[in-house]
Amino acid sequence: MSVEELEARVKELEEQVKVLKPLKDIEEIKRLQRAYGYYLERMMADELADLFSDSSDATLSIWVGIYLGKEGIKRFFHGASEEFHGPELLHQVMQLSGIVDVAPDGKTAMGRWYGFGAASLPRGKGVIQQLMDGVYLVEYIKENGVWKILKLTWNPIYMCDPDVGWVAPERVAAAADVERIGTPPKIDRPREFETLYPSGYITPFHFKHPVTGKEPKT
Amino acid sequence: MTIEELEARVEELEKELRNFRDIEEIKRLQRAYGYYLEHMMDDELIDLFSDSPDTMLNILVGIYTGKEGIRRYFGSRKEDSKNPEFLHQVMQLSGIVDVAPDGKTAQGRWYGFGAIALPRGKGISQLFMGGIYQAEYIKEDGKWKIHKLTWNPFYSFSPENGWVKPERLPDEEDMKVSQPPPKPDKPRDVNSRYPSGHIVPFHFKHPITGKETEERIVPAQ
Repeated sequence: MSVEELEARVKELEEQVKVLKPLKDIEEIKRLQRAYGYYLERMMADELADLFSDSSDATLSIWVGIYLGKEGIKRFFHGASEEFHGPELLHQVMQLSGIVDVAPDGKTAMGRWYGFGAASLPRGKGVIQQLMDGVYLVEYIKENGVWKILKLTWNPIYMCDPDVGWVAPERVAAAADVERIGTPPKIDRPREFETLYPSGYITPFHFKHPVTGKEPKT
Repeated sequence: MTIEELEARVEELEKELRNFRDIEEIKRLQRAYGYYLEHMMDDELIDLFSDSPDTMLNILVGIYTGKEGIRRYFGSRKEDSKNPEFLHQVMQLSGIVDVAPDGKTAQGRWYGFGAIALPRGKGISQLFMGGIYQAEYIKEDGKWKIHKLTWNPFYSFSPENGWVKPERLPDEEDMKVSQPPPKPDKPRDVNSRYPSGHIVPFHFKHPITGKETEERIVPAQ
């Protein structure tokens, strides 16, 4: 290629990369938040604390209270890993459905995520089992070119025994009341398919097979 | 710039773009695996794997190697794919994907979680299932494929029993043994737990209207 052609190609590519830059930040932040979940699963205290910013504003706001600065955050995770450890510990909080927005200056970002999973917490001689669910609100900061968690707030919505569920037993609707759910506002037309298990219905695929490129079977 | 410098710059920029596209393509591949697995669509699943002889599927029952091994495993589940009472939903969640610097291989870690219904005898066994996927990917003829897939299940449990064995559940005495958490620096000012009615504040405006969504407490009726 001639110098002119190459220069034009470089300019074109630089434009594309410029457009992708914010997406790259978003991808790095999503990676960071998902790593938080994988470490949290086994209460890996050092790995968790190291995801946080060195700033004195670093904050971890969880159910039991608020921890400040890296020292406060370390204190919490080390305490938690001392209380909860061993093969019977599982603190699975899958980091799901993230919406991440980077500030125009590219130095900070915000995120909202679901956390959902199964927890098994050793307690006394036994193990508590709970389904856990909630919302994360997170502020991120770029320090020395690396995205870190600046402030993380975990707002649990429920922690429940799988057999009990998340509605208090005395508030669970009677069977007769559950029946009443079947009266929606008048519909414009009926659906063509029954999708509920065990209908055997397979939702159509909009995409061709990633490897063979074949059209999906219907 | 000289031709050499320009060529180097073109290569660098193209690599950066490719890395981005590769990650997205691999995520698409792994998620497709989940959608096909839901109905045990054997041909579609087999075709996601690499043609390399060291291709591998490492699951609870054992390890299958090469495309033939993988075909043998998924092929054996053909009856499942024809049974409307069968369901094998394993949502592919929270993927972290990293592409090697040469752009030819990649690795991924994912959660799998979902609801399973397995025909057993005259009945159907219902289970929630959760675990971790570790995956190696390879680019063959310009297409990303699964090279080695390891499924490490943590639990599969019936909804009424949960995942901890009945004899390991804590008794009333055990429940009293709770170590207080390390001293917090300050208390929280919100109670988010159901049924508090608390709506976690939104950092983002409505994607279409651009309106703010305020933090609020839904009052009791």
